[in-house]
Amino acid sequence: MMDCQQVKLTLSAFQDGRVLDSERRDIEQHLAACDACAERYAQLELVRQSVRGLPRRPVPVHVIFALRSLASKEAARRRYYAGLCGALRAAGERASLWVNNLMRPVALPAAGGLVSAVFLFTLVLTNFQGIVRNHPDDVPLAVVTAPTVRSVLFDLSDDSEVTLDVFVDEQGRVLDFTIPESFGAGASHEMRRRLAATLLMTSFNPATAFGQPVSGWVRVKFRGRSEIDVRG
Amino acid sequence: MPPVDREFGPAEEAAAAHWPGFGDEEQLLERLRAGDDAAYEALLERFQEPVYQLVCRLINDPGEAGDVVQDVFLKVFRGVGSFRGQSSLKTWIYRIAVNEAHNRRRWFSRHRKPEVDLGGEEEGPDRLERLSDRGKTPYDWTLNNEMRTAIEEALEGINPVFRSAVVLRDLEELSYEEIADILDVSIGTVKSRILRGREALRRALIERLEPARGLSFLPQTASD
Repeated sequence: MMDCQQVKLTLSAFQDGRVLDSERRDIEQHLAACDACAERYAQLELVRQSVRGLPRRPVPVHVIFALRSLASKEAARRRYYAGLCGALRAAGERASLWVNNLMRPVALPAAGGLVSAVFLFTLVLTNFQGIVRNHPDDVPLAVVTAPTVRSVLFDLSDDSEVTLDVFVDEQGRVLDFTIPESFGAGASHEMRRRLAATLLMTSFNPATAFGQPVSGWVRVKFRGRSEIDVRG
Repeated sequence: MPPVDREFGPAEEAAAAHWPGFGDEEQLLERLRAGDDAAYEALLERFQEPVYQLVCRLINDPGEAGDVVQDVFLKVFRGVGSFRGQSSLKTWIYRIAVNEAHNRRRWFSRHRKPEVDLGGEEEGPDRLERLSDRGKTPYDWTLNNEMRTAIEEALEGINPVFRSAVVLRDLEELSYEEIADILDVSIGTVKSRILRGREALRRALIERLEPARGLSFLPQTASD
């Protein structure tokens, strides 16, 4: 036989038929004998029946429409992503979204930083132009350069003006020279000998191609004792 | 003699899992995953009303219940692809509804009052009552009944944890096993919560009805 405390703890399960047959018989016997527990049981039963009897609220029309709209959109979305193409498309969109989400926080600072850097570089660059100077021993890195005269020991005794085409090898040595037709091709033998001696004492910077010394022709014009003019 | 518990036998389970036009639950899920409009329609037809009732009883705010129900079904639709059938579709949807209602109620308990208090000159516990539209809708007035009102208010007043169990058991008439699955607790815990919930309701109703009406709350038979 159960006591009141035990019955009190099992009345709810007893209402729902969730007790063993033996427990059910004990509870029924107790309720028949105990007015307090019988009253409690009656009250609990009234509570249960009252809760079950609560009217069901109708679903508002706008909620029904909203749910239909939601279902329609979701069904369309499912169809859009169905199949292999849909799976690839979905993966691509997810990757795109992931990259966008990753880059968005840094996009503005990065763009601002780039603009600031370009602006500051433009301002500062003008101030640094003065220190950019040509060094006399620089190796020219242009694609092709002509030979240039490094030093000359002038040995022409008169003030005549002579123009020569000189062939300079890759070590800066004169291998050959000619006097162009339009610049006194009919020079005397003595003059040619003196020019050859002078050129022997003249050193050249060889022509270059992509920074490497190569042989090449250069036009040189002598003007008296102290002047020399070179045309590549 | 107490009523027999409404347990689902094999035949009832099969009937509950049967979806006219679709076959069993698994076939319905396949159609949902394929984006079949009719499957979505069938799902709403079966569950929109019980989910709305459940959410209404759990958050005490019919205006918010509509939003919560939409959130519930959005999660259901989005999650149907990853639903593996560890539980029935019904308990899965109810579980989402209970969790969503609890989340919404917790959110309100944290945020609603501070929002109302912004810029307010008057203070006091009744201010929220006056600002909120707590008036009865025409539907409420039509069905106004003191007993019903008393039951509803008593239901709103009990601990939400116990209320969930009582609502699922007595309003939605789910079995203990289904409730345990939905609330993710043991059957013993379900029994305890239903017991304590009904006991709290009983006490609240005695306090409310007996002084005013002099109701004895005693069982009466036709011969009395």
